[in-house]
Amino acid sequence: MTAFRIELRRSSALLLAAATVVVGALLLWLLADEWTARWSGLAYLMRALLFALVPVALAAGAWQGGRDRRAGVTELFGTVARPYPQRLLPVALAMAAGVLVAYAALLAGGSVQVAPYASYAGGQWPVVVAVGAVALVAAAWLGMAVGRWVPSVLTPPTLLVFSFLGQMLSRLDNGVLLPVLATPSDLATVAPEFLAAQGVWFGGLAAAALLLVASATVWARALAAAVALAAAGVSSAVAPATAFVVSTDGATLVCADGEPRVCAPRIHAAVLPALTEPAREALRTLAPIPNAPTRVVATDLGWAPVAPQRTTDVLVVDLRFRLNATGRFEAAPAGLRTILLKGAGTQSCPDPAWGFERDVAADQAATGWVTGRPAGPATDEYGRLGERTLSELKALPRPEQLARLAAYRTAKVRCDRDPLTALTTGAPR
Amino acid sequence: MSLPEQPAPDQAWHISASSLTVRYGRRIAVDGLDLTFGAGVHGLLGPNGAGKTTLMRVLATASPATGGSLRILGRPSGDRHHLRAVRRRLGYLPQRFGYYARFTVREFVEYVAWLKEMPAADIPGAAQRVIERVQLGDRAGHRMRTLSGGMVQRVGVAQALVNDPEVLLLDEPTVGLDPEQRVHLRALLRDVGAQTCVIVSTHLVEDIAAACSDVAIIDEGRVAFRGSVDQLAAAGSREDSGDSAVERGYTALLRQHRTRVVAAR
Repeated sequence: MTAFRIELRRSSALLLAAATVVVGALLLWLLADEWTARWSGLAYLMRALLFALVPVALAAGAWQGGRDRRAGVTELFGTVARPYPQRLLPVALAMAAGVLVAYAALLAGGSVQVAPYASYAGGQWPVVVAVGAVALVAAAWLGMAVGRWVPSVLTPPTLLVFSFLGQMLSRLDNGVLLPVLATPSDLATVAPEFLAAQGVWFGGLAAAALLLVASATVWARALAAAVALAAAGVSSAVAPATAFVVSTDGATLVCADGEPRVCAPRIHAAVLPALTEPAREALRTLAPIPNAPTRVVATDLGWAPVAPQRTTDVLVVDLRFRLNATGRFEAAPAGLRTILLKGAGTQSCPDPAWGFERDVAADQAATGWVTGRPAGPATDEYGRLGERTLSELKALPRPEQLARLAAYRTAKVRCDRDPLTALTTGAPR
Repeated sequence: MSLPEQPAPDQAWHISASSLTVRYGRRIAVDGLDLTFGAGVHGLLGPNGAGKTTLMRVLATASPATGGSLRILGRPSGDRHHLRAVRRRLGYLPQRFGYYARFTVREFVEYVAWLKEMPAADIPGAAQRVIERVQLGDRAGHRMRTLSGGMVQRVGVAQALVNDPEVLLLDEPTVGLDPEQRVHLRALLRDVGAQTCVIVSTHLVEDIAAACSDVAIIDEGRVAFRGSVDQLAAAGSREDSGDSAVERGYTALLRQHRTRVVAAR
């Protein structure tokens, strides 16, 4: 205890803790839009932070590891009774404590932005963060081992830069051996087998690094290398090919009371109170169109595995980039109605076959028809094309107008033909 | 864990060396020394490069002897089985005393006490005692990096003393000390030497005269003289160079030794 108490205060543990908190808090603040109001969002951001925190831990560890040689105590401490591994244990534990307390503080700070708003506490997010914590400890100890071998003042900055570059050059798409774990969607969850494989790897790496720090013989070093290699091998062998699967809990749709149905994934259930009324109003507005949608589903359109089936029955609201720090829609009810009615309740469908411009122009004309407002800014070419299309459409008899809009909606949902042609000719259903 | 209470065969001497040899590659730094040390303050005197520091390092178990035999506290020095127990009873101030600059004086001394495997409950009291003994009581809470050279040297003495060692090895302990501090250190050494085997390596003859009960002069890895300080002082004559009787004795004995070595060749 004597040595641990002293090392906590006098080793680089405090420096490491302070640097971790400062860098981590800055990144949490800068990336606030990515994670607030969701536990899993915070958890994956805690893992994304490792992109910067692992290099910091390596560098602080390397500085600590070089202390004995810089201080010139090897002569004196080589004559003491306590064996070298025992001497290293308190400082290694102090470094681990420093980085763990700092990481926990970041999690606690982040949870202030999550706890009041999160509608869904499920999922394995604590394990996601715990594996990241193990990776940080492994980095600090690995840094100590390197610093002990190369006790130069250049070692910490070199490690910092190279670990940073190394991560940038490595495959960023969630390799099992990489500390950073980036989620493709709010509705995704990391496969438990993948998380277990990462636990094995970082746990093994931490053990190997500690062995390396305390090693006094070539055999101990060889053992450390063997442990690290074995952990890497086992974890690569058992890790599934895809890191992320659909979160069965988080992605399950929950619906607001009453009809027509307005639903959102459980993890985003907080959007429902504000969404329900504008959504039903939009359904009423679209109802005259023969193939009008009959229900509204909010989801994340950015990740194929959770994309809803494309059908005219469902009005899909993409949640990406539309939520604020409390997990609610950023837009006011009026803005929400605009989002819902855009393209007469369809998603955009640009395709090289007909081009981006025609899709936008058709969208603007259809939006203008359902909202009763001008099709769009008449200042650009699409705007003028959209406006012309809208006025031609309005000149037709009302049943023909509705038939054209239905043809347009079908084309948009199938995404197989030019939506502008559908709107101007009304051809095949 | 601790050594048995009954004395080991050579317990009469704290340290006994016979034909002790240390080689660094082809160079012989210590050349077949026969020396014994018991309780008391023993001076190790000799010109720079005579092998004093090499001998101190071997006695401190910092490096191994390459030939001959050495028993420390009754145990053969190569005996790994007892090395840890022997080291608990050693105190060592290396010639280049390294320290952790961020530690306070008290923390550093307590840390060394922990390294010497003292019982945790005894450490704070023992550290306080030795810090006061080297007159750093008012600096105990100061960081090591804020200390002057003389103060650092006294922390070096304090850490060597913290475990009440039975063998205390001090390599050039008076370096960096002002005259008053030197006088105090010599008194401290005489006090410690009443029960402990203290070996002080120095090239400063006046330290020996003031602090030591007996002297060994080492030259080119061999013992040039072994005897009391009085014998050392009596060995010189007016013709020998030196400002004091002890210095004249030292130069005379060194000259006689070298003459004998040359004659033997």
